[in-house]
Order: sequence, then C-alpha cells, then structure tokens
Amino acid sequence: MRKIVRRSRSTFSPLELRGSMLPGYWSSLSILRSACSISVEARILIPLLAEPEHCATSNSNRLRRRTSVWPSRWRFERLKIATMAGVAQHSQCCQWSVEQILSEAESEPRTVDVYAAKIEPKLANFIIRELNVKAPLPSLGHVKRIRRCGTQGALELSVILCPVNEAGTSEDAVMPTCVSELVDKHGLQPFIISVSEKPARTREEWEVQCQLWPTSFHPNAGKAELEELDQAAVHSMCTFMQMAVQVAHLARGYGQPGNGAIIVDPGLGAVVAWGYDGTGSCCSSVNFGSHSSATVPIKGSGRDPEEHQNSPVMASIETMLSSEPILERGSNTLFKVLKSPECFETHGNNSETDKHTGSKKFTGRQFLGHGLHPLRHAVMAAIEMAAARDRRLFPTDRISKCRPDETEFEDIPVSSKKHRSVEVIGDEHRARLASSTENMTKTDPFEISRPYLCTGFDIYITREPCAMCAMAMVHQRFRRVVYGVPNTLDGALGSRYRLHGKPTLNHHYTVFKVSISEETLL
Amino acid sequence: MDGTLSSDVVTFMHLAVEEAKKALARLEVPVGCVIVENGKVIGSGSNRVNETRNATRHAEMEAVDMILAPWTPSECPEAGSIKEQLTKKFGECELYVTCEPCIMCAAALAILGIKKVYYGCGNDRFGGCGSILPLDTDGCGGCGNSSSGEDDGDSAKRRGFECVGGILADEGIALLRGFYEQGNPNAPRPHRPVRAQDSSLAD
Repeated sequence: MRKIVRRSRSTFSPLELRGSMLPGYWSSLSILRSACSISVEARILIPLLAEPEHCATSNSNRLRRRTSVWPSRWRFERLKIATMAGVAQHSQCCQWSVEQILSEAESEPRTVDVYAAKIEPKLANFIIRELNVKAPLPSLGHVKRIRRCGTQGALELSVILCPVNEAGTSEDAVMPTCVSELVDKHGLQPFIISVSEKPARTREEWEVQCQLWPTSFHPNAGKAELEELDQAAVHSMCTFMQMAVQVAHLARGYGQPGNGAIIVDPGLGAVVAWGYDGTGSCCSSVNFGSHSSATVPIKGSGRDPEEHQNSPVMASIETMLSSEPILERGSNTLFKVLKSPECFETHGNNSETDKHTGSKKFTGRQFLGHGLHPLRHAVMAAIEMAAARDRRLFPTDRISKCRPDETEFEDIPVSSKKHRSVEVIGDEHRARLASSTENMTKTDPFEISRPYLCTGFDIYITREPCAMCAMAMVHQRFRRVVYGVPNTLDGALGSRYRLHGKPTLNHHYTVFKVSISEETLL
Repeated sequence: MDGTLSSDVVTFMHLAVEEAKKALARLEVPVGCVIVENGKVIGSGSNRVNETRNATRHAEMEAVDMILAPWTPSECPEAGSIKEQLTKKFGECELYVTCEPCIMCAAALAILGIKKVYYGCGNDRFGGCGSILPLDTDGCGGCGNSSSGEDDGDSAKRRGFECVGGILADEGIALLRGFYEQGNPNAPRPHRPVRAQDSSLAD
C-alpha cells in the first residue's frame, strides 16, 4: 500500500487532490476525476494522501477548506471498503461486457443522391470556395465535400456539387443555376452518386459510410451520442453493477422480485443511494394470508414498526441491514458500506421527516404494511432515498446562511460537476441565485453546491426499467443509466420503447447495458 | 367538448384545478389531481417535486399514495393476493388531472389498473396518454419481467385504461402558463453569477 502511495504522490500532489473535491476546481482536473471515479488504485490512495500531514504545504486557509469539504477520515475508510468490495467481486464481473444503447434503433443506413464531378486538382481550391458560398450543404455537414480518388500516382479529385432534387424530372432542371454555371465554366461532367444521409454514430458505421463517400466522424462531439469507454470505465461500471446485483439478491432474500438499483456519484466514486423492488407482487407465491411471516423483515429484528412509520423506506432499509442472517449472506463489505452513515443517515434526522409528515400529504408516502407498495420499483425506491439524502444534506432553511459552520458540514460529501448548479434558498421562499461552478472558483467555496435532483449522478439497475422508472429517471435528471437484464415485454430503454430517444423530453441521459444474465439475479 | 360530458366530470375537474392552485401557492408546478371512486373523492394531490427534491412526486403519485396509506388488504383468503385486491380497488377509480399524465404517471396508473383518466390540457413534451407514448393503450407490466418473459403470464395482465382529454383544458394551461411566466425558481440556472464572497474566508 505504501508503495503505491509513494509512486502516486509524484503524480497527484496533495493540493490537487484537495482541489478536486472543491466545486470550483473540479472542471480543470479531469484527470483527477477519472482517478476518483474509475481507478481502483487511485481511490485507495486518495484517502491516504489526503491526510493532513500530507497537506503540510497548503496554507492554513486551504487546509481549512480541505477539512471542511473533504470527507473526514472514516469516510475514506468506507470508500476503501467500497473499492475492496468491487475488487473482491471483480472475478465475476470482469466477464461482463458493456454496450451502449443508442437512442435510435439500428436501421438500414440511408443514403441520398448527390451530383458530383471530377475536377482538376489545380482548380480545387477555387471550386470548393465557390460551391461553399453558392451551394452549401447544410443537411450534409458530415459529408466531406471533396474526395480523393486517385488510382496509383495520378491524383484525381471529385467534389459534390449539389443534392439531386428528387422532385425534378429532367436532369437539366434540377441543378441550381449557380451550380450549372460553374459546371459550364469548367466543363465539368456531373454524375450522380450516393452519400450517407446521417452522420455515423459508431466507428463501424463510419467505415461503411466511407466506402460510399468520405464522411467525418466525431465520437464524442455534441451530436454523436456514442461514448467511447476505456477499460477502466468499463471496469468501474461492472463493479457498480455488481453492487446493484447484490442489492437485488438482498431483495430476493425477502421474497421480493430480484431487482436492485444503486445511485452513484461519479465524482466521489461512491454509492449515494440505493433501493430494491418492494412491490412483492411479481412473486406468484406472495399472498397476504400465507406469506406474512416470510416476507416481513421487521419481524424478529426487535424493532417496533410503528417507530419508523414516518419513513418506511428507511425503516425497511434499517431493519434489513440490522438483520443478521442477511448480513451473513452476501458480501459483508458491501453492506458495511451501505450501512454507513453517508447512505444511511438520510433518515437519521427525524425532525426533518416529522416536519413533513406533520402535513397530511406526507402520510401518503407510507407504504403498505410489510414495506410493500405496488409502485415501489427499485428505481423509485432509490430515487426516494436520494431525495431524502438531498433534503438532509441541503436543508432548505439553512442554505440561506451564506457560510455554514465548518463542523456542520463536515460530513457532507460534496462533489460538483461542471454543469451542476448551485442553489441558494431564501428564507421564506424558494429563491433565486444559481451559479455555474466556474463562478464557484471565484466565490465562496462554502457555498454549498446543491445538485439539482440527481444531476450528474449515474444509476445502475439490474433489470431494464419499465416506462414508469425510465421516465422517473428522466425527471430526476440522471446523467447515465446502466442496466442489466433486458425486459422484452416492458423495457423502455431499448426493448419496447426507446424513451431516451424521444426528442421532446427536457432531459436526456445516456444508456448502457451490462451483459448480466437472468441467472446472476437468482 | 364539455357539453357532452356529465356535469360530474366538470365538477371533479374543478376540484383538480383547486388542487393545482395549492401547488402554485407552494411555488410548485401547478398540476392537481383527484381520484374518485363511485362518485366520491377518495384521494387528491398536487405536485410536490420541489419540496421533496424527488421529481417523481407528481400530483398523480401523491393522490395514489393518499389512497394507499390507509388502505389495508383484506386478510381473508378469498380476497386474493395483495395485487389482485389493489387491481380491484383501482379498477373502480377514476382519476381527474389538470394536465395529461406524463409517461411515468401514465405507466404507474396502468400498473395500478385504474379504470379511467380524465385530463385537462395535453402535454406535448412528455405526455404518456398518446402525446409521446400511448401507455393508456399499451399498458405497463413493470420492471420485474425477465427477458424470457415466462413469469406468470405477465403479458395477459398488462392492460391500459380509458382516457379522455381536453376537460377544462384552458384552466389547466392558464395555470401552467402563469407559473412559467413568473419562472420556476427551482429550475437549474447555470449561468447566473453568485453574489460576492464572504471576505472572512480570505484570512
């Protein structure tokens, strides 16, 4: 361990690590982002590096910031445990592969016809300039205007003149006058050729396209949605999916449908919330009369169910975690992580909950007896927990104070993304100011960056979500959705619908599928 | 269109509009909803997304949970499983909402097996009753199904619901328009500068 640390210290100075956790520095430290969220080794070393003695070079002010914004030491321990759990499970999950589910179904590559002509290489510059002015091709921005088609030695160039007007019948009528003038002037001999209609989304598509006519391909440019993942990213994805699988196993242990979800802050590389299916209805054996003792986790745990009525989700989680047989069952390390305060204290503050439950509406949040609710799919449960965490970490009333006590926020794991906004809440009404993190660098680092819902977070689900859950994730603003087993009947992210391809939605996430099998969830 | 509807429908939709106004008063997106069983309102709710930081807390979900909270399944064996009892319960309920249910809510209502949905204005961005996806006719079977689909014949259980739109649509739209004109104070505004920093930090 020490060895790793020493080697890495030359790469990551303590200052950088400290900075990486401060909202404003985030964007400039992408290398650290990848270190935090992806690399297993890096995540182990960060806690060690961030110990105060390694920050001796920081001035006192920086140190203050560090201690207040960085998680305290015990949280590093948990991060470490989380990582270890991932490593321990790696043997299984490294068998998995990851595939991106694009927002449009694979379709036959479509082409459009255009006029092209061979030109003298000497005239190329002139003609291209003329054409770009007189006959631009706005709909074919991905197509290269000029093609080199030389056969051994002799350089031959062809240019695209203009699209073939499909409505036109005779060839003379379809070419715009400006183009035909150019054709006449240089004695060009137009011919018709097909080019691909849409930009390539994958490298494979691009290679096919280029056989027709060269096009350009930008894997990570705005419009091309395909994200190229490196090995570390794939590994990280599989590791988190493994955790979701363990949550599914846990649910299964309670006679619930085997489906689990975890919400990950990629900045911290840590699980911030999780949930499992609590519908109880997909198991055909579930019948109130006969199963009550089998599926009631509360029983035997020595806890009074009434005590937790105000936050039944959390109650069921707590009961579940305190249930010894279950802890012995799966990976202990994971549940130590899950049990840890960061995930867990979301409900610890009862007054917060009480405030809401005082109103009649919030009693509606209670679930049916035995933790069941017909709509409590894994995703919904996880979102509920993330929302509870959000309410606890960023209580509405306190954020109006411009600088909270350091101690007060000592335990808050705050990560920030470039596009995550800051919200400052007024005393009486939901106010007003928001800021990009660029501004954060210039302003108060204690201005807590409250994420808007789950902006920038990733969610891992063991099964393809239904339309309800898929839309819930749109509403909650997830960055990325990673699911496991496809759901041919009701899956909304590739199987039955492709919700993330609906252009009218106000938010779009990217979707990945990890190739886990049904058996994995049993 | 209103002329062909019974006065009851309009009355219940007015109640939904009243619910929506409650949301507006809390600076939430003003959508309101009531659920009616046999001519009696048994559940109502309005948007609580900002308050809960949970974007799934739409009016429909709030109203459904208001019904589910006090509901206890019958322990009598003839009553069937919890799911059957729930389906029976919601199979007698009609829901009135001021704006077309979104895809999430429409799917949720299909999962619950609601009998009929009346809505006000359409939602051409994420409406789930035909505008973007037709969950009212497609139905939704939930997340639990495996790829093999052999689980207790779920395809047979999937069902949609009746859906009637355009009731008091103008009032539903007027509420939303009023809200968005004043601006959603909780929406992210990434390009606004934050006020000057506290100088005490610099020491």
